[in-house]
Amino acid sequence: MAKSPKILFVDDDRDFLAAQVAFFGGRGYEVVTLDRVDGALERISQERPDIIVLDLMMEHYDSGFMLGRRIRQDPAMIEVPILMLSGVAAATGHKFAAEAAALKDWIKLDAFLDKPVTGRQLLKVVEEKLGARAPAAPATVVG
Amino acid sequence: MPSILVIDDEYGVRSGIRQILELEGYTVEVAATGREALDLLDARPFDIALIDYQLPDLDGLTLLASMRSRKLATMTCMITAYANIDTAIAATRQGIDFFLPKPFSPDDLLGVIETLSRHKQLKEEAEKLRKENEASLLALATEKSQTSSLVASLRDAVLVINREREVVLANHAMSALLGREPKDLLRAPVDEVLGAMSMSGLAALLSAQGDEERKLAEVTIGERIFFASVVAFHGEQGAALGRILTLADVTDMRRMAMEKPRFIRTMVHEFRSPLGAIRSLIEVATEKSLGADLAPYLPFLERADKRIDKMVELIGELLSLSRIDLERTANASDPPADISSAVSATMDLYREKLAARKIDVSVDIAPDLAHARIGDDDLKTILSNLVGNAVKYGRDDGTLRLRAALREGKVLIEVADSGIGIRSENLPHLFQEFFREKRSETRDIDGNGLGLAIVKRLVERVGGQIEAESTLGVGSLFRVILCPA
Repeated sequence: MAKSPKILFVDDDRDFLAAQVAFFGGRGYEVVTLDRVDGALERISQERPDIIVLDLMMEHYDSGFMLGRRIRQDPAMIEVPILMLSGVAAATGHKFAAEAAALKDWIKLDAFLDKPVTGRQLLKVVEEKLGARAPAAPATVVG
Repeated sequence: MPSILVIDDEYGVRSGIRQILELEGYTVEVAATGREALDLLDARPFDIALIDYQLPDLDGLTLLASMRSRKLATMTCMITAYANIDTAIAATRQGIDFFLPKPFSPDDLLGVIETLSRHKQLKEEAEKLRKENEASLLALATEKSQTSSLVASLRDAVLVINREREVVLANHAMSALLGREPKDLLRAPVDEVLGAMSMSGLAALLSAQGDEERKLAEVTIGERIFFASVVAFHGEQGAALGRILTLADVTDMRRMAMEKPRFIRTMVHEFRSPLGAIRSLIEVATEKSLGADLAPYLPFLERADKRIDKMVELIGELLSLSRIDLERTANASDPPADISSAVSATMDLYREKLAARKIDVSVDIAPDLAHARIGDDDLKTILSNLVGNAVKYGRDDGTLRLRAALREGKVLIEVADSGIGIRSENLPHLFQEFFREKRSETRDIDGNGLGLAIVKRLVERVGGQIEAESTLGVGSLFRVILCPA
């Protein structure tokens, strides 16, 4: 059996993280969660995830961006898909759509998703980014 | 007919004069001495007094002086056989109106009386006119001063210019805005006055030709936004005399208008985050991520339930905020708050939480302190928010000091903790809705950032003040200043 892909979440909402552990865990993923930006970079390079989901609204509205950019600066992480979750447009009133493209390019983000996002929506994008590496339909889940 | 007083010590003269005058219909009284004359003059007014220069008790000049000091309206005529230029000059100085040298004929006498009567009449008419004129001048001055004090007291800045485009009036608000004394503005060319403040847009507004009654524009001066209005004013003949410029500061209105969307965006975010979490937690169950058994889902559903509780709490606080904003002013009929009972009610509320964190509490209420001018419930809300924060952001084994005292005629309530403190750069935002300091120490502390916003509104609507002091890592102090009841 193929090794489970590792998905790493950085988000300050612990309930959201707990739900993702169960949801993606049930889908055959190995789930790692970080609830703060401090020390995240070190953990990420240790964990070597296959895909990263970053929340923008961490301690500061830009800390998600900075973290994303720094992950990309690690040569080993250049290829890892990064998905960014944002409720920023609503929270700060930034005209986000216009900036998103530039930021996406700056961080080399793979996707932007607007919060609140459902596990299923997230799963769809994750599967798309991982392609063949994504686990098959949840055979482990007993219906 | 005029009334006449004849003052002569010679019986023949005074009764002769009396007969002649009474035949003509005049009312006549006679006096033989100066004293007698003054008594009569004090008793009733006379239109004309005929005065003999030589009186047994006093001379005519002295009598004239006494009459003058009484400010009588009586016309005077000196009758004397010894008329000389010195007497004439002296008598004139005392305000004599006419001379009748002795001896004189009845026609001479009647001629003099007629002349004096006419003078008297003219004098009275002149006096009447003068009084009327004075009254209307006074009314005019009163109206002018009413208008100028009205203009001076206006919150709007007012500037009036004449046809020559010179400033003829500027109220306090305008002179403050221009940074110049009102007297320096008077007669100054308006283009120079406004140009210096880079308000040339206003100068243009003031100079625009045409007879439009009113012109409006929005202008920015420094950091403030003003609604400018220019009105031409006209004289009675319809000629334009000048223009009146008023500037109403609409900065706060605009700021409020800008504040509202920001508030709503933040509120949306405050709802969206927990909704996202709740949805993810429920999704675990609907997706059966943990298998067919119900038991493993319960912790997720409980977490979702807790988040819903917090949302309900948030809605409650938002409603409080909106209620306070709607009421604007506190209900004046509310009984004033009993400070010491509000404090003990609050401390009772937090007794368990304080004990659990082993926080050392000291409460010090000055004995001369009784009531504060604020509703009882409002004071309790304020205290429970401040004490609640001191518990939430306090440290185990820390301290909480609550002091209430009278200082400089005000009620001072201080709540101080030895907690984690607030970054100094965040102090100005502390009372803003939804503001929460995002730090590793605060992330596990529940709160929606509305408590202090509510406190500030409650304090300010009764004319109070709230201040915060804090040292990061050492503690915070909140000071509420209220009026005693």
